[in-house]
Amino acid sequence: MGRYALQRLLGVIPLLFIVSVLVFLFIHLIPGDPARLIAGKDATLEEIHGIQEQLGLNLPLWKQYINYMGDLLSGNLGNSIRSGIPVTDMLESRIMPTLWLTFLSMAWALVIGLLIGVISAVYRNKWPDHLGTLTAISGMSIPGFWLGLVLIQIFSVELGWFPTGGVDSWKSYILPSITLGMGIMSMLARYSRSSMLETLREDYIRTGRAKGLREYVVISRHALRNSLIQVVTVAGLQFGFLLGGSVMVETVFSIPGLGRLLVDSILFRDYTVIQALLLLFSTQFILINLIVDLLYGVLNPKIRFSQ
Amino acid sequence: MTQNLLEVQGLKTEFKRGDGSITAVAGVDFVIKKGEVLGLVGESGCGKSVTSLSIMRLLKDTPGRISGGSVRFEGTDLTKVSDKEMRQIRGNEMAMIFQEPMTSLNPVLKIGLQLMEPIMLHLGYGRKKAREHAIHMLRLVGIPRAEELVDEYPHQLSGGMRQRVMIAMAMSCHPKLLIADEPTTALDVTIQAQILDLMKHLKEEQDMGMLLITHDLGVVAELCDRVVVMYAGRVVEEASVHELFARPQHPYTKGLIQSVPKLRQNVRRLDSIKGNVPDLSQMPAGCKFAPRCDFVMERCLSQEPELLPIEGLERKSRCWFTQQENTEGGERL
Repeated sequence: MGRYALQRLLGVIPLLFIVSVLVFLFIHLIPGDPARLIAGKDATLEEIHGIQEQLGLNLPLWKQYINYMGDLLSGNLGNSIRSGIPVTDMLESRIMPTLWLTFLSMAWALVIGLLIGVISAVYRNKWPDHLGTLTAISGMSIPGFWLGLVLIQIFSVELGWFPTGGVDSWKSYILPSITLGMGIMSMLARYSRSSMLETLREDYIRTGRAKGLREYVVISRHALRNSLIQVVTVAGLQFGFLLGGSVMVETVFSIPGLGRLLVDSILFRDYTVIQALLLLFSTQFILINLIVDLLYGVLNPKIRFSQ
Repeated sequence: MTQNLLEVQGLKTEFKRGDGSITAVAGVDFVIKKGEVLGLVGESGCGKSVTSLSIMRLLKDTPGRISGGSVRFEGTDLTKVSDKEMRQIRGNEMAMIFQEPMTSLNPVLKIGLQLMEPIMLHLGYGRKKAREHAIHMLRLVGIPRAEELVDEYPHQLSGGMRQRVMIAMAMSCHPKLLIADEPTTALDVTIQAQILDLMKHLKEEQDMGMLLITHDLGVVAELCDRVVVMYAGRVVEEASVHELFARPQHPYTKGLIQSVPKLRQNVRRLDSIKGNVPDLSQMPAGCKFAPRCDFVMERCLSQEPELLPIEGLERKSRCWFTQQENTEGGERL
């Protein structure tokens, strides 16, 4: 397992490098000159050139990249074009709400999604399965922004149980997490159902029953872990997409997180912030995939040993 | 009179298909005495495996269900007992090994744990004692370095080794009846012989009854005391092993025996039974074997023969032709 983990970890390094190059190039492909943006509409050409020189924008692209990466590794992501505040400070103040939101959403979506999936598979074509399918299909079909607004209307405005937005207490995270996790929960319920059904047809399930094991043991000990191998992949991918969803949910629930920061920065063409956020999101995506790979090893001894 | 270990009477298993249902096992009768090895022989699709799964009540997750008859195990009708009682019998007094050793073990659990499961469940052993018993069972089935193997995973073993593990698992609670569904079909020929030897040896040592399902007559000759031949969900012939090979009665059995390749005979072409097993939803009206039979008579096409004992012999056959032959000139046998 140690060797397998090390291999996976080392494999991440070239990926991170490629991603950083791509993000850097993309930012430079966007039309528009940051120097002009900073200088303002009435700036003279000399002023613009001055700013370009100051920011190093007149250097060749590869040199700019090296400078940027050098700063990045020493913890400097530059200053926001819009406000002049260091980007690292902005990220620091915005990251916690987003982390809480995504982790809470993922946690409940995983638990409930798996539960619905497994129950649906075990009671295939009976009423619990139909109920589970109905829940999952509804969850996938309901648009997040609408669900968020309905939840606010019912639980905040009518019943007054939860705040309508902000991040004042743990209560503020309940409704946003429900909104953000709903789609993933539904997806996981469908995937775990089908993967469980597939596993239940395996020969070793019959062996388990032939031993005289209780159905509960056959499912929890023999079937669940095998079907998890497939579910983990989907869960990992979905986790990545949660970040996209958080942009919408943070807007609906006015949560000052990274998603809102991204929207605001794009609207203002705040290149340094956009670049930092893109890097952060893609790094996070890669790390989640790394975790998925490591989980494979934990779940499946064949992968662990074949390395 | 020795008490019978297993009495299967009129066992009928149906499978739902679309709106209707098809009958995979249509009234099967046979008996296994204590310590006896009964072979269940027939082509693929004749209902052998379904019969064994019906006896073990392992038809869950298939569209099949037992629709008639009884399976008496030491006097208890298994078709009537509760799920809980059935679980106490399965893996304990009645164990089963399957055709596919490669997929019959759970890939994510250690061999030891999978072996310990029935031991802890049925014998009530604690973890440590169960582990020791598991290692003991692995040694018994001829696995070297059993102490290390319990901590390994199924993919680290070969097919033959896995089948040994399956046998060890099935034998771990000293069952009175072992059902072996094509235990050697998926293995190499040399490994087949080893596994057969092992089963023969264990069977004699533990004095257990065995239901051996196979389409391999060589395996039957090696291991069985008596044989039941199945065709299209029915028993067509029943005889002791020697009788069956020496004087097969049913044309189907004759065909099966003739289609075994023989050494030292200059044969250009293997004998085979013409045609295929009929589709279960389109059964012929009379004798189910009639369309493929060389001795077919008019009566065979309209009336299905019964499984009747042959006079003076401890054997049965389901065939108009042999029954007629035996009543007219019984001495011709």
